[in-house]
Amino acid sequence: MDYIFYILILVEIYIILAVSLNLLMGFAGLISMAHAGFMAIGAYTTAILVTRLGVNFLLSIPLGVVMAVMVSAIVAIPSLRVKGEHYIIASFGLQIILYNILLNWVSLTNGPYGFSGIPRPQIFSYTFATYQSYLILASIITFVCVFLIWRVTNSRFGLILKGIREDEVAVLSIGKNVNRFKVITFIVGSSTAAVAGSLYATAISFIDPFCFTIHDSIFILAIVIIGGMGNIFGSVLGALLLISLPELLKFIHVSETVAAPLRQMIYGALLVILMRFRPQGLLPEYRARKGKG
Amino acid sequence: MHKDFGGLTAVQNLSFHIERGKITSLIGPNGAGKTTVFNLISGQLPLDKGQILFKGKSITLLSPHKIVDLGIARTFQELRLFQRLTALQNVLVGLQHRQGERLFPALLRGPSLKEEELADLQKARDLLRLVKLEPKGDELVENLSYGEQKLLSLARVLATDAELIMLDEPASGIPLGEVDRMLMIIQDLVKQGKTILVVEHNMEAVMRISDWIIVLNFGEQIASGTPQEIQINKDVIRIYLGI
Repeated sequence: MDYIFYILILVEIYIILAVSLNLLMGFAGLISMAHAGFMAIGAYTTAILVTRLGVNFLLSIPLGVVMAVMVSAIVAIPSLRVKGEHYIIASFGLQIILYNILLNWVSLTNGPYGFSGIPRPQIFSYTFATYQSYLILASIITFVCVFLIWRVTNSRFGLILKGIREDEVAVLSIGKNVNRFKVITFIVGSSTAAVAGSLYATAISFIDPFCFTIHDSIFILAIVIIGGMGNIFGSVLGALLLISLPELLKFIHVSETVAAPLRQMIYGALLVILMRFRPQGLLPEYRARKGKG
Repeated sequence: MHKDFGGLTAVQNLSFHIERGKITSLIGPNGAGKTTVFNLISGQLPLDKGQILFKGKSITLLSPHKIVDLGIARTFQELRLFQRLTALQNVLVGLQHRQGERLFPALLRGPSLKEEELADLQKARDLLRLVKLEPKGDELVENLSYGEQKLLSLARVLATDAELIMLDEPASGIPLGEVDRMLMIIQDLVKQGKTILVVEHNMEAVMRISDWIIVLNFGEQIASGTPQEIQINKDVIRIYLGI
């Protein structure tokens, strides 16, 4: 039972990651390969502040967001000059850079050793020691994140993002500063990933650079695509599906060495099948509701 | 309003002005540079030589969205509507400087934002009604006919509340009855104080509504004048009949 709470916490962490990446990809058309890197920024900020400086976990979250905002703001503007496939490569490069900083800036990040024994969050004298109690905290945080992003996508801002995704020239022709929208969206989406990272650090209690590689970015991408780009609830469903799937594998008796590659193969097969038969993902983009603007 | 161009290979030594409150048409054979002129004015294409003045101020180096801000907006020959949005949504995004476009107001959703949203819905519906598309408001653009999309593109540009509206082939490719509707709407706009610049191939439409016509060929101005003058202009007749 305890294990189910743990899985649910993981699901929620990936819900935050998928929803925020969906904002970038499914709404603004920004394919980010660096989402795991931004998750890492949150995770490491929390780990460093909590274990070395005794900062309260709840305070470390906004600080992690601030770090992610700074990094994404720095990266966002030059990346505007880069279009399409080149943008993806640039984003790929960013992920590699972030990963290598984690691996090599040993004095800051403990390099390949990472952080272990990250304590559970504490409010006043209460410690969220069990998975069950932590799940409640994580659920609140997840709900807030998803709700805020949903709000963005459901607003005039979100509508313009959808326009940008389709035809930037047309959006410029109706007086909107496309670059401004892209930069803001990139910053918002990427720094939300940091919140997921902070949650991850205290849930798993141990982080190292190998938790935040390009493969992890691709995994989040897969969730967004499978769940349905442009649909927030699709990302929720996608996260639930792709995190719990390996758990179902446990009912089929496969040896440990086979389990991980088998999981990869299943994800890969799922992606291929979905792209062939249902490219819009499980939950297609929400058709316009009456009277919404 | 006064515009000087020059030096871009598609458009050479072109210099003309557009009078406020009138309908000016740009005509000429295919490849004459008409849409290029639009692209230069709207800021999509950089000008190599010369300048573009709007109400006395130079807009030559401004980016497209800033030019809309100053009061010039255009439609596209290829429409460029947002296919996966509804007709209503296409008009809504045309509205300028809304609170809902900024991140924090969008997140907080205060009472003034909600008021603005309601007012916007009304405005958008009014514009759709103007182009007789109100019943199709909740249809996705990809489900509208070409003629309907053309009218929608007009509604969207009107949403920007621009003073100078540039219409790229508003009367082309649509059935006769809808051409009449389109022309009537355009003439009404002038009554509301707008200035219109039209690129058009439909000569009958051009002669009917234009106050002034400028004829281009190979990026240069061949003639300009009232419809009556242009119709009897020998150079114009020559380039159109290929004589």
